[in-house]
Amino acid sequence: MTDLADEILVRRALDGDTVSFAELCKRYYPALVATAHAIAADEHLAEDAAQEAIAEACRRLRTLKKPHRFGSWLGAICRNVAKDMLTTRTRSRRAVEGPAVPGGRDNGDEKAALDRAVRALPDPLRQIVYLRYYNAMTYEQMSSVLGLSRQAINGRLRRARGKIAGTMQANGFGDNDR
Amino acid sequence: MKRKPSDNQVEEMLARHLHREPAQFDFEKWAQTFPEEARQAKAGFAPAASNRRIQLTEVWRRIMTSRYTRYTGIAAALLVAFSFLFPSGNGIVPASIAWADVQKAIEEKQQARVTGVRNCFFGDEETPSHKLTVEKLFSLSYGYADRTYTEDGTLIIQFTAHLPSGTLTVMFPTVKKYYRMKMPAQSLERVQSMDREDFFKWLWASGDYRKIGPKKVQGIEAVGFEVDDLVDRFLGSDGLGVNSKIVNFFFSMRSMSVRMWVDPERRLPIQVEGEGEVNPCLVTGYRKMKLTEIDDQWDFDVDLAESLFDPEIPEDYEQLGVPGVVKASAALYSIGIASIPIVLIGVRRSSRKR
Repeated sequence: MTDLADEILVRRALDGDTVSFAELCKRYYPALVATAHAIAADEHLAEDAAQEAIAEACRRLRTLKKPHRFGSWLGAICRNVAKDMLTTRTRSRRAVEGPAVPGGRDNGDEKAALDRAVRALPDPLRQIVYLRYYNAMTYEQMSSVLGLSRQAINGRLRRARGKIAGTMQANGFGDNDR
Repeated sequence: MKRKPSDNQVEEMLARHLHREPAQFDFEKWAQTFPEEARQAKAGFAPAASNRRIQLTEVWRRIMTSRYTRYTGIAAALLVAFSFLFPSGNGIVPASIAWADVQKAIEEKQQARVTGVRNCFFGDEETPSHKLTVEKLFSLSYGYADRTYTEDGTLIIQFTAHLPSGTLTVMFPTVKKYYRMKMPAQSLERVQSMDREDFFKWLWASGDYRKIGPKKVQGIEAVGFEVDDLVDRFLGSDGLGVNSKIVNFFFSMRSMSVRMWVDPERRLPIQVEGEGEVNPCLVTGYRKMKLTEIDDQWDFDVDLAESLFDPEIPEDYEQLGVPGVVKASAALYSIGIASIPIVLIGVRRSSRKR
């Protein structure tokens, strides 16, 4: 079961085979959580978004035209769900707490500086960073979720790391000049 | 000034600080949170009862995936309905005894069943991509029904206009969908305010027709009449007065010429032929298409039950909702739907006057 192609599992799921559908969900759930975390910056919200994305996929599975692209289709649903959830949460927080206050320097905390640098990345680069480093995903797994070629993924990852390095340097992190 | 961290250093930091153990998916737990979706998964993703009323746009997209239904429907009724539009002469068309006799003969018949073949061609194809059988039922009392079948006899679309109740119904049996409505007030008013003479003036005052033949058709030396600009007559400034942009979004006819062949002895049509070009639009999948149709089986001695024009909807059919843009305009119904009641009511009123 675990080795079966997405296309076969989707077709079985459409015939009412819940084991196949559960297998598809298991296969992509970590990637969904990583993607949603990249967008929402909140682990709990990310899990909620991933589960809601699976529910949404349930409602729309009959409309999936290319079953072999189930992963990237589900990934796209998850991105939209996470963005919607983030928007809703931001609005409700603003209503309660008022506008967010911009953060200051990182006072030597490498993790906080890295987090800030990752947050500063454009959405597509941040998502690819999360997919790669969150669960140590292979390029092949990333490709099936993003619908991108290995070369494109590699290029984006390099660009993302370059931007992170630049932001960290600007925030006072890096090697001392000799 | 610090030096920029190297690519390897960034990679190492990311791996160290960002890494999490992969989240595990628990289907049973998820099913407790989303019971309706879990039920759908167990049922092979059949739509939930609460979602049975679905948007026309969604269903239209589903219908578009069918090999056949996309090329039928809106224009389905045009050709043979056209045969009922020929005037009996009131000065606009030069007096023609043949036409007057044809019109009179048709009106006397009250009911008719017509069948033919519709072909759809794409690009420069010489053989049709789709060959469909069409069946059209006319009743001066009950209305109009138009059915389209595949070559193997599967009914794929049925349009009915029931005149006594003003009910219009479109059914898509292969996908078990239907749409039913009362005629929009605007169209109904227009139909009610128009008698056959008005309709005839509207249709014929803006263009010419040609007499053609005689020619041997089905073994009969038939006389023919031809009109080239049917589309302009329906959608032009003197046409039905509908929003042509919306009509063209769905089904954009570029041109349509129609010929009717009449048996001079019986004064009745024996064949109607039509040829048209369709611009890229929703119905054609945004490709150019040519359309030909020959309706060559005319049976005037038929007994048609009223139920044929007001069919019962099977319980397992889903009703289509109408998106706002379409609801806002009666235009959607103008070519295939509104025009037919106009034709029939016009003819019926004329009959009553006598």
